Amino acid sequence: MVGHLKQGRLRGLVSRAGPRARGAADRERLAGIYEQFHEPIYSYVYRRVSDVEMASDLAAEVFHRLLRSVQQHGFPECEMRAWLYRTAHNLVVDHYRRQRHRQHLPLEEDLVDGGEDPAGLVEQKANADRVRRALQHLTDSQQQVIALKFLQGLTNQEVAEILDRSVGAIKLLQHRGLAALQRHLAADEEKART
Amino acid sequence: MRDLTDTLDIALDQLRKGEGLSSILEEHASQAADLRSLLSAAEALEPLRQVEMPASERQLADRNRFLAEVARAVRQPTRPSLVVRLRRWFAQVFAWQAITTPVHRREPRRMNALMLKLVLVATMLFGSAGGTAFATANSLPGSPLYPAKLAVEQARLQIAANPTDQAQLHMILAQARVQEMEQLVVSGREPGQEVMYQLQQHLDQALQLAAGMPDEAMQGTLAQWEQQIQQQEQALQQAGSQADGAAQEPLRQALGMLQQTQQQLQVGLEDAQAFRWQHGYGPQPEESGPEAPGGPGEGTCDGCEPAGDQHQYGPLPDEAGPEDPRGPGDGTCDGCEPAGDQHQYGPQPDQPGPGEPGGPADAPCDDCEPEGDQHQYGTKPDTSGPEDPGGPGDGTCDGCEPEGDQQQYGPQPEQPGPGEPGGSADAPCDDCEPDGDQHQHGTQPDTSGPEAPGGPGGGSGDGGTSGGGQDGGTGGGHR
Repeated sequence: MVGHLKQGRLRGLVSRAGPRARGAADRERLAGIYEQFHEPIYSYVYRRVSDVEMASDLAAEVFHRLLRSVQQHGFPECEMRAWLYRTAHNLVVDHYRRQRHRQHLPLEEDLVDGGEDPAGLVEQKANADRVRRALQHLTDSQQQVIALKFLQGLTNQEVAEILDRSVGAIKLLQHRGLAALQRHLAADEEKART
Repeated sequence: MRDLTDTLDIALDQLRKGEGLSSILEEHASQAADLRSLLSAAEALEPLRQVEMPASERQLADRNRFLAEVARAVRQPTRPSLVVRLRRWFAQVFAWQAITTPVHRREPRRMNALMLKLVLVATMLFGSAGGTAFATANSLPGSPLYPAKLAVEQARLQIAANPTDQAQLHMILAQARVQEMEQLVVSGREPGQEVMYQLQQHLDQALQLAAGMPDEAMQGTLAQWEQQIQQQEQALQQAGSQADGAAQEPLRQALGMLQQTQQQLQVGLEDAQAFRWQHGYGPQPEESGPEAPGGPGEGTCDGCEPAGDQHQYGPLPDEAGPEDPRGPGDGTCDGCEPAGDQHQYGPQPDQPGPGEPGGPADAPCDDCEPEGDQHQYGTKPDTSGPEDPGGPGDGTCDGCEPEGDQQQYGPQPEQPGPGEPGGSADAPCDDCEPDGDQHQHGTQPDTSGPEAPGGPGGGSGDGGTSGGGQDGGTGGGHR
């Protein structure tokens, strides 16, 4: 899956400053990246896994991998957002691969968390799980386009940059992804009715 | 009309901006049916947009953990691998690329020390081997290393790519021998027979290989060698002037070898064909007539020996007549032995068959079995004489069992054996079973002689339809 998401070339730590000043600069830069991207990455992961703890762990792992990559190869040459989303997607896919055989279902106490309308919250949660399950039947690329565009609210151009594809390809993936999602939702509804 | 993919993208934008579904479908009425399901799928994603954030303590803890990890990583930068350090060092020393990656200020000094150590170790490891090779190459006859030098030269000759390279190498080695002789003389020693032998060998081999080269290459090579040989002759003459009495003789011999070689080179340069002939390539020039290079054209050759006898495959002229090279033409052969018996397929001449006096023909054979056909291939009619030992002469055999029929090689019932016109009609065989010929090769019905060893003539059994095969056909023999 990592290979599927093409990573940009990595460049070294280019700096003419001394090691101490360079270290401070790198630390500040990494801290800035965390502040800027932690929430979007957490949101992206949460929308895919629907679990606070798991989403927190996976988001933390995304930034841990960033740090390791910077240590070994320097800061990514490609856009930082694209690198982070790709890494997050890979982690989500790995997570679902691990979970495939034990059909992860949220615990009951997760569903009821003291909201004003517990019944409405449960129904909302059930709907979200139904859509999330249907999403799992889409292809990897279709899932990414749907998640980035409809859940993260990115534009076609931004999604194209992250996935390293053309805007036309993104539109096509969006069309096919929605069609597939509609088919699976309809099938799920039919199944529930019978 | 727009493609549905583009229309969907526009409709999704409109939906995101808050336009109503009905107005969007109305705008794209021609594709409304398809758009409706797709837009409803997009709307179904809405519940997923909500995000439950972790508790603030968890968020703070995650952040602090990451920043601590960053601080630790910056304090302890990862040391680059040795390969990376070497690449950087070469880039810095030989300046083949601009250095963009900053390095520690002590790194060049460390790498210089490391490279110096590597060079020292390499010198210690390979220096001794190189010195030995050098000493071997400069050794002289009588030195303990000289055999090693000769072995190396032989190895070089073995791995030479082609005969041309081999020829050049032989000439180089001949020069080496001459130089060794000079050095020996200068050092007050006498060149031994070993060097002389080596010199002669290399010169001969070089000329031999040169004779096999194409014309142009051969001429160039010989011209080049001619100059080299001249120089060696001069060098030997100089050495001879300095040599004492004992060393004079070997030098004179070596000079003689070089002069002889020089003569041959001149022959090669003037008459390539003669040079080749001298070294075993091509015909002798003066014997090649216009008709055929290999001999006179009129077809006569006094003194020529038949080429076919060279490898002893053809008949010698005094052993075979013109009629038949294998024997006398009159059909008689004194002293000939029947070749057919060599492998025991026919009767031995000294074993009388039943059909001849002394054989079983006079005494009816009760249980005779063909003896002359150990391998059961039967007697050929043209080789079975009237006294064929293979079977009774009268065509009767009481105890005979049809041996030649099991695999249907025996006589056909409708073809009575020559031994009796009607075959076994005199003694019909109603229920005889083909027991014989377990070796599956009986007498050919149409080739059996009157007393064929496979049994008396193919009796026609009443129900026999064949030569007594396993299919129940009755054999053609008597019981």
